[in-house]
Amino acid sequence: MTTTSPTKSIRVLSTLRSIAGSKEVSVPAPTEMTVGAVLHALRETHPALAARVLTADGAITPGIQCLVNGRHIDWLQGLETPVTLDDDLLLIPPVSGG
Amino acid sequence: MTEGTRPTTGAAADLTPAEAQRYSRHLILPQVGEAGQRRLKAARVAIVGTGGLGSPVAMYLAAAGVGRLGLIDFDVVDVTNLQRQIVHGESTRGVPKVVSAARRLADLNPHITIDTYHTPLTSHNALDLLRPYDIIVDGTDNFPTRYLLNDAAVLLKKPLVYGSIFRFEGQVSVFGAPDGPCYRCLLPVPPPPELVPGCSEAGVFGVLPGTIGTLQATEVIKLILGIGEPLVGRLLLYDALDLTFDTIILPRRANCPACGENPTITGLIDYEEFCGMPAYDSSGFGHGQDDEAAVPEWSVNEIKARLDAGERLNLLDVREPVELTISRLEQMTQHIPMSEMAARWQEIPRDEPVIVFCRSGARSADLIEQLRTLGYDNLINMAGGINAWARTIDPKLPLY
Repeated sequence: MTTTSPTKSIRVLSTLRSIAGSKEVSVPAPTEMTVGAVLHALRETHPALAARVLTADGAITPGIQCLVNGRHIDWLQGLETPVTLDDDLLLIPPVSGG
Repeated sequence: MTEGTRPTTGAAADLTPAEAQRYSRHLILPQVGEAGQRRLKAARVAIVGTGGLGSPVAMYLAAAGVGRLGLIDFDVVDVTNLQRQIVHGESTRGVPKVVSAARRLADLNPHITIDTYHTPLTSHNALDLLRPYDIIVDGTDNFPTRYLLNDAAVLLKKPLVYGSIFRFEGQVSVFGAPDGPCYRCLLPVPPPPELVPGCSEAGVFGVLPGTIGTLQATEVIKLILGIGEPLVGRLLLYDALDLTFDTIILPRRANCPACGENPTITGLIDYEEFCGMPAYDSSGFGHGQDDEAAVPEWSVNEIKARLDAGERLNLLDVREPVELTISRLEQMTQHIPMSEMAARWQEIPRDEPVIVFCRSGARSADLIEQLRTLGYDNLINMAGGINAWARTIDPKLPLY
């Protein structure tokens, strides 16, 4: 990838921050801009994070919430939900502390 | 006014002169007034968990004059709680948390009634314990109890004010309201046990449960009074480091087995089995079942016996440097903190047994699992970590 290639950022919370080492990660913007394609791009750039976020068959790990602009993708088009470079893509892992 | 979310409360009792004086700052608020204060007096709220979240919830509800509080917790006060669990104190170390909290709350407001239940909430007692209350507050610290509470609240048709924390972040929502979602709409399937460490393993910013618990108390009081917009259908996310609040939309799932159109959950189940993890902050009690099965481990007794017999064993401590200032194993031969492991793992010997230990055995088990993929087959976990050593071998070592 060249330095001018567009990237798509993904915000992460809680335990995913520890794995990512930051609050936000970026992946090269895939040709097909869907949630699924963006998350699958993590496998190349952030394999440890991808291993937590995606199951072996490419689904989202149970318990992890994926939101686009504050809306859960389960009420949008799931992994097929289209995203733009400007959309807020957020991954929330489950937390249970009290 | 949000009539749809107002709970059923008992008859609104008159205020005594002493109560009217105490609650005067409420009485002059038009949104509360005498009618609202009487409603608070008549309200009955169950608080499950009297720890980080339950502390501020209980204190603000008591101070506000909620007439009956039910405290449910099986635990006792430990010194490590006092960094954040402000309802407890030095004088109640070793005392059941519900008793400790009841003492503090009675001092804060003698006009209220406090019920204490020094017992774990289980599938057998949950419905009976929670039935007398109008609203339930989730101040628990583990997934099985959260699912149990949710299903009980849905079955009993009572609002459940949810809060959860991790390090510097927290979540709040109101579940179980008419037309609103429930906890299963947020988490339809329990997460894999290894996905989330508890507070005792991950650490928690002491003031964080104060913020989240106070937001839960806010929602409880709003529900009782029927004022404002409750957090129904929304999940509030708080980040203490950035000092930001985000709200995400959380609709009810039509196919939810608890609150959906055709619910299949008609009674309480075995939630430890459902979640595949124990119903307590498991990081404080060793590591998960999956890790135990996957990682070789020795008990502290076995390790001690082998050392006493003159066997040469490497003891690798993977805790952070600050933890060594709390307790230190004199037999330790190597120290590589987990925070430096990515750069230093090759320093670990491959040709002789290495006992790996941390505080409770969870981080060390994770490390062994990771290093096995890199060809290490000589690593053995110290079951229960240095805390097990302190409990069993050397009582002079502090527990933390």
